[in-house]
Amino acid sequence: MALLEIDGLVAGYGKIEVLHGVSLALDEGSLCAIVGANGAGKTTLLRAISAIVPKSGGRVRFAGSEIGALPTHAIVRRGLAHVPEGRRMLPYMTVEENLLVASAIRRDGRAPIARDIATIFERFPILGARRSVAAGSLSGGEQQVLAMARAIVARPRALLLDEPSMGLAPKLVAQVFEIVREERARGSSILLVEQNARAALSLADRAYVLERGRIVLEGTGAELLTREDVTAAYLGG
Amino acid sequence: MLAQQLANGIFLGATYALFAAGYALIFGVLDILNLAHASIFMVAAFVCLTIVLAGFPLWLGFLVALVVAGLIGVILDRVAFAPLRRRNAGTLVPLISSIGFAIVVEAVIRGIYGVNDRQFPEAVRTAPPLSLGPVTFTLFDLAILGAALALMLVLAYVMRATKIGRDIRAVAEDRIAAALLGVDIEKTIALTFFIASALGGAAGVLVGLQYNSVTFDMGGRIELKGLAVIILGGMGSVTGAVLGGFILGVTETLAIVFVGSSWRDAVAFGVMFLILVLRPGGILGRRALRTA
Repeated sequence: MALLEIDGLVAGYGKIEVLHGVSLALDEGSLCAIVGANGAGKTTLLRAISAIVPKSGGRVRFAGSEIGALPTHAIVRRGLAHVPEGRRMLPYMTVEENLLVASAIRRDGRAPIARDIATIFERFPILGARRSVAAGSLSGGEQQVLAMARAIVARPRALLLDEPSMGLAPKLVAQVFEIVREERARGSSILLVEQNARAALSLADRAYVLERGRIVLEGTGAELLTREDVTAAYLGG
Repeated sequence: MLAQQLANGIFLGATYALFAAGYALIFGVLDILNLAHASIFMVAAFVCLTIVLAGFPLWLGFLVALVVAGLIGVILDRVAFAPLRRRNAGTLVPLISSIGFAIVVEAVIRGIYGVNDRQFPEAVRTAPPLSLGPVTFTLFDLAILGAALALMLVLAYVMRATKIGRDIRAVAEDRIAAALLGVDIEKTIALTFFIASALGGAAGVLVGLQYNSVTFDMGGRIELKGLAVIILGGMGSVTGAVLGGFILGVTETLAIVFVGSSWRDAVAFGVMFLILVLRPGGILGRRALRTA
């Protein structure tokens, strides 16, 4: 059974419906990519799963239970971490405080959390070196690494990643995808939304193409990479 | 003479600072002015007075007043702010609903206690005079200053070093980001109201003791000053509000000496006006709550 199952999800902003019945599944330990043009509803999909955007129809099941009616923080506490579009730092709080806020949902006590934060600082030395600096003063790439570190330190059961490469220089894009690859290798379950379709599809076990609020195509990442209509539309030929 | 007036200014400023700290905390987290803050300030003074008149010790009255004030703050949020927050009502409508809450609270207190000035028993306020160089004051003055400073230090500690403080600051900075990190927004806002209102209530008790006067309209005297102080400090900055409170206290007492007591408010507000002309964002600007 899938870890995260979305069935007929309808959602939008006010009276404007953006998603018109989206269904997809994320299997435990796999990486699922959602690609699509600007405005297709990719970000809205993740925001609806996390209850930032209200849902008006459909069901969301996570780890065997219905989470469609829960508020955002309760969904996150169930183990569904969401790294939002635009990174959303707590800009005046330090790098370390950003990680402390994120890790506070854990129930395993202070010592393991402190150990994990120390591990994060070793794994991402740019964060370790700037642990006492306000998060808002980090560069875009550093902020993206911190945003992903915040999710990792919460020890979630699944990660929702929204456009992690957006607005980054090519070298940093490669670094961000390296982190995604590492997390996947560690057995994390990841739902990845990306405009950089080639990079996303090459990592994906399963992939969906979202167009104007509907899934129009699905398959393995490798299958979609070889399809001419997909490559023409989203990979620039 | 000058040293004595500076000391008086600090005694006075400490209570302004305490009142303004709670005011600024709510503004910093919710971007709304809580115009019921002064009514909770007043209720707490009556709660403490009632407990003391019933024969219980002052410290007990003070603690109970703090808790009651905090709980009224939580009710205030549920009644006047939370329903509007759910409807995304902006910042102007909550202003009106908090005035409504304040009117109801004042009417209830006036109904119970009447319009007359109430005093604490004289025995509560008698304390030996102390002197420090040219400055004389009583142990009682010192206790009020100590209580105000202690509460502000506790606030600073909670905001900087505890999970509750981090959650409050996270909600102040970016509500959606905080929710996505697992922070319960509504619970955190309720806690913010509890802490802010307890501080406002503490200020009410201390001001009631300082002037030995508790009335249903005592909130009105401090409300405008509190507003001026948080603008002076930088809207939403708790540290700025505390600084602003002390500046106002000292300016008022100096104005009484050098200009005359009828000019007290004119001089104090004039000085604040000048500071704001020079620093329109306030002494510390908005961001200080977030770093506090």
